[in-house]
Order: sequence, then structure tokens, then C-alpha cells
Amino acid sequence: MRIIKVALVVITLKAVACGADETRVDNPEAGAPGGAGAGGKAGMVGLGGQGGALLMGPDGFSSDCPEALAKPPQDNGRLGVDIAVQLGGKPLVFGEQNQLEPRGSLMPTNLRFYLSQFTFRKGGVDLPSTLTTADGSAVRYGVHLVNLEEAASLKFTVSVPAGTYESFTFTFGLTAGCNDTLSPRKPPLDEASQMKWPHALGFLFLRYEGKRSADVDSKVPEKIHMGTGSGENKFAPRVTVQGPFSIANGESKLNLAFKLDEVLKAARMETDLSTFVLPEPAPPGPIGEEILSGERLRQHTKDVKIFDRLP
Amino acid sequence: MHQLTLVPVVLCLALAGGCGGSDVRQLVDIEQPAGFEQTAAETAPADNVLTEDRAQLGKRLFFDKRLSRDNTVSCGSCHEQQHGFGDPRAVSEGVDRRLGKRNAPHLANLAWVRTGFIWHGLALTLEEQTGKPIEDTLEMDLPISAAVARLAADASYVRAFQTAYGGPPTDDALRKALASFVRTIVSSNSAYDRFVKGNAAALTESEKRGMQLFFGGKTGCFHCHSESTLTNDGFFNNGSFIEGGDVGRQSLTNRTGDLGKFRVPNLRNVEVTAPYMHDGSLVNLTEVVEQYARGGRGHPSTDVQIEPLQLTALEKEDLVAFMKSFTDPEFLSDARYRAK
Repeated sequence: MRIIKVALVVITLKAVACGADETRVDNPEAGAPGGAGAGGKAGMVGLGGQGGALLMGPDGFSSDCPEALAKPPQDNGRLGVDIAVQLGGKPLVFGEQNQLEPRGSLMPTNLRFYLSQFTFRKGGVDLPSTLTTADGSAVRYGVHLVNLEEAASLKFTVSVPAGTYESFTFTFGLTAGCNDTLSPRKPPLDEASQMKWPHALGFLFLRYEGKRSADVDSKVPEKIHMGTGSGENKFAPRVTVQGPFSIANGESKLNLAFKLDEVLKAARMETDLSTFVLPEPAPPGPIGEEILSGERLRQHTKDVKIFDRLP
Repeated sequence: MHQLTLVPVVLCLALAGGCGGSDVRQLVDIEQPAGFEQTAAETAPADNVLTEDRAQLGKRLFFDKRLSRDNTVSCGSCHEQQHGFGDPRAVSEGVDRRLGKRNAPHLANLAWVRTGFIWHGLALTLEEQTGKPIEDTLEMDLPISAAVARLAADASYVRAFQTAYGGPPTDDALRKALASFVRTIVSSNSAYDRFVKGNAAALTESEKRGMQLFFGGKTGCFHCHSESTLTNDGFFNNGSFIEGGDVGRQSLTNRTGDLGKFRVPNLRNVEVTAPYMHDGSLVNLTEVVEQYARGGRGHPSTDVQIEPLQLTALEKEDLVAFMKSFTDPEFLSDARYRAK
């Protein structure tokens, strides 16, 4: 009986993902057409001039997750971002012992996370941008997966009109539109990403596994799996990095720190998880500590500074 | 006279049909497993598009013992169809009865592997992988150039390579042909597949309970064996490593954290691919579940996700039952994969 229920819920979820629960935004001022399929929240200015209505997901971004996005204008500026993963202000060496303050060491064995939906703020308005490949094409689904096993994944490029911006903001994970595991998809939204949850629960936004030495506080988590939460505030966190940023017509560079110690800090912050449940059709049984740590991280990303601009 | 001529023709047709209806299907007629985004053909690289000629040539090579130094071992010697294209021995025997170091992995659904082949990920592509066992001194122990020379001396092979790749046998074409055949080794019709496709009656109650455990937080099997491909394509230390043992992926990366990491195999036909783990140390699925329930063999390098499990005897039985639902009898007896 339970299995049949699961199957029915999956079918129901599919129906929802296909548009049954979508919100149509007809007011262009409320949600402007996103350039290159970027979608957009209220107050966002479109770039592509696609016009017309945009189907919005429950998180305020496009409910769709198209594989192929329009190539951004050639005269756009390009911001090349290099992520520097750090622990205690020092470069993190993946797969090796890293010193942890105040004592002990940490050896990360798996660390990966999604980035998507970059917007750049100018004059109080958020402009959508496009994640691009080396040849300037939009990346598949508009999603980038950082995976510390692949050094190349620590670099990515964003295409945005040249200019000076006050800040940029991105989704630390996936939008609701892309967080759908019912439709088979190509990388980075496939099973080899290691981010796919079973039971149509979507993808993890961040996955961390690492070993702490015996002298490290046992509250420092060894596993953090951050995915969708429960209740109304269940979406991937939005993170803002303050500028100003001058983006020229050629390629500008930005070094962006990813601070693992801030992740570990948020993942053990005091959080009321008494009502936390995985959405149906999650199977019965215990919710793993890695998921609870992930939920703490999701809720407290706003309270720490995981991403920071480097000189 | 006409009637006499027709008799052998009719007889041949009848025999061909009698050898199994599946014979009319080509190797490249592959059913895509449920939940997979690409077909097997779509996974092939642009310079080795999957064709029937290439797959058939690869199949012939797969079963040809002339690809070993002393003509005693073929790929098929250690990858047997009835064992899901795995080897029932803990480690395989190569030329001169030399023993390998690891259990021969099964070959089903390798078309979809993205992150590397061989237990520690030595080869990045199937085309690269297929040449390794031929040259490995513990396996077939024959330089690829010598293998190519043997093939070039056989007129029928020369014709087959010409048809498939437009030229004589070469190192490159040999690897590509073998990779093409391996790409057609696809298992997609187990009871679990039928359940995923919507047949709720395809699984027994025990198998369904096992599925809930497998994809639930109590065991966390899904962290590595995801729903569709039954693998996340990653490399993990699952607790099988013992001090002084095979270091696995660390031999490639030199990372401390990669000690004892091996590829997560997909679990297609896992019921018949015993023995298990990279070293073939576990003889049946019950032993596999027991090892995971203990949290591995206890080495400190074991992945943090491997922890002792509190499972009842019934839950262990259900897990084993569920894993047996990955068995695909049609695949295991598919005449298309048999040596001629």
C-alpha cells in the first residue's frame, strides 16, 4: 500500500512540476522577462527582451529548467570567477589533513555544491546574467556544479552587460524549477553529480563529507547534505556578495572565497528542527544527521559569510 | 528442382527462428533503462558512433582468445554472460594461470559511466579501458601491436575492420570495436525496472520493504546506489579496505583521503555477480548486508557514511530480496551476446 502511495505521490509531484501549481505573472513590473531564460524575482530587469508572461515557480524563479539557454549578447562583459576553498583563512587541500582551529584537523573527502541564478545589482535593480562556458555559450540548465574532485569546476564565467555593480546575488543550490529529479537530465543534473536524492525529493544543494581527527569537537559535523527544507521557507539560500564590481567589455576576474569553516559553523547552529520533515514521498524512518546538519546550514547561510570577495 | 532449392532455404529460416526469437534483434537494438536520460548509442563518442558492424566486430574480438599471448584467454573468459558479464572467481586467472588482484567487474550498463572505468578509475573512457586487459601482464599479456598484427593476418578480420572502420586493423580501431560491443551490453528488464516503469505488482512485498530500506535513511544505500543507474558513478571507501590491502584510487591521486576508495558498481544483476567487493571477499549478498550492518571492516579510512546499522533479521532478508529484484533473466540469456 505504501509503495502505491509513493507512486501516486510521484505522479502528483510530476503534475505539479509540469505546471499544475505554477503562478503566472502577467504584470511585467512584478517579474520581468529574464534574459537568456534567467527567470527573475520581482524587481528584476530583463535583458533579452523576450517579452510576454513568465511562468514562475513557487520560489519566484522560472518554473522551467530548460537545458539550452540563449547565448548572451557578444558585447556583454564577462566575469571570470575563481573559487578559493578555505579553512581558517588558509587554502583547503582536498583529501588531506587540514588544520582546524583551535585544535585537530579535518580531511574533506567529498565537497560539491550547485550555483545558479546570478543577478547583478545596479541602481537598486537586479539584472539577470548568464553562466557561460569558455566559448561564451550558456551553460546547460544555467547551473554550475562545483566539485572539489575536479579542479576545473572551481572556475566559472558569468556574462553580464559591462558596467559597475553594487553587488551580485546567486542561488546557493538550485531553483525550484531545476530541483526536479522526476525528469532524467544531463550533467550536472544527473546521478553522477552525486547530488540526486531518491523519492523525487530533488537534488542536494551541497554535499560535504569529511573526517575530523579525534581531538576535534564532536559537534563539528562530518556529513552535511543540504537540500530542500520543509514548510514555506524551503528553498535554496540566496547569497549576496557586496561590490562594487567593475565589469569591462572583455573579461574581468574575481576571486571568491568559499569558507568551509563558515559552512561547518552554520551546520551546527542552534535551530529548531522539531517540525522538520522531508516532504512526501519520503520513506518512513529516521532522518539522517547529515540532513539535519544540511537543514541548519540552509537556514543559517544568511547568518554566516560562506562566500567572500578576495583581494 | 525449385522445390529442392527451397527446402534448404526454408530449413535455414526455420532454424534461424528456432534459435530464439531474439536473434532477429541486432546488438544495437537496445532498450533504454527507465529513468536514463540518454540512449546507449548517445553515450558513444563522436569518433566512435555506435553501429551494428562495429558492435559485431567488437563481440567477435571479445570472445577471441588470440588477443592473449598464449591464445588461452579472451575477454569473455572473465566476463561471463550468465554471471552478468562478471567472474564467479574472487580474482580472475590470466595467461599461465596468473591470478589477478581484483574481482573482475561486471559489464552491464557501462555505456552510462561518466567518471572512469576499472575499480580505481584508471581509464577515463571505454575506448581506453578496453585495451588495458589485453596488455596487462596478469590478464592477457599481449602488446596491442602484437594483437593488431594477429588480426591483420586474418582476412576475415581485415574485411570486418574495413567494413566497420574503413581501414585495416589498428590499435585504435581494436579498442573502439571492443568499446562498441561493451556499450551494447545493457540490462533494462529486471523486476525493479518493471516496477519503476509503473508495474506495481512487479515486486513482492518483501522486495518493496527492502526498497524502502534501501532508499531510506535507515541504511542510506542510496547515497551511493541511486535510483535509476544504481550507482552514483563515484569512488568511495565502503569499509572493505584492510590495512596493507589494495589502496585503490589512491594509487592514481596520491591523496590520503582516497585510500581504499573504489568505484561504486551499479547493482544490475547483483544476484549473479558474486563474489562481491573489489577483492571478491564476500561470497553472497547476505555477507554483503552483514558487512555493511557492522559498519565495514573497521579501518579508520572507511567513509564517514558507513556506520553500523541497526537492522532486524527480517530487514536484512528484505534488503537481499530487493537486491535480487535487479536480476534481469532476459539479459542473462540474451542470445545476441553469446559467442558464435
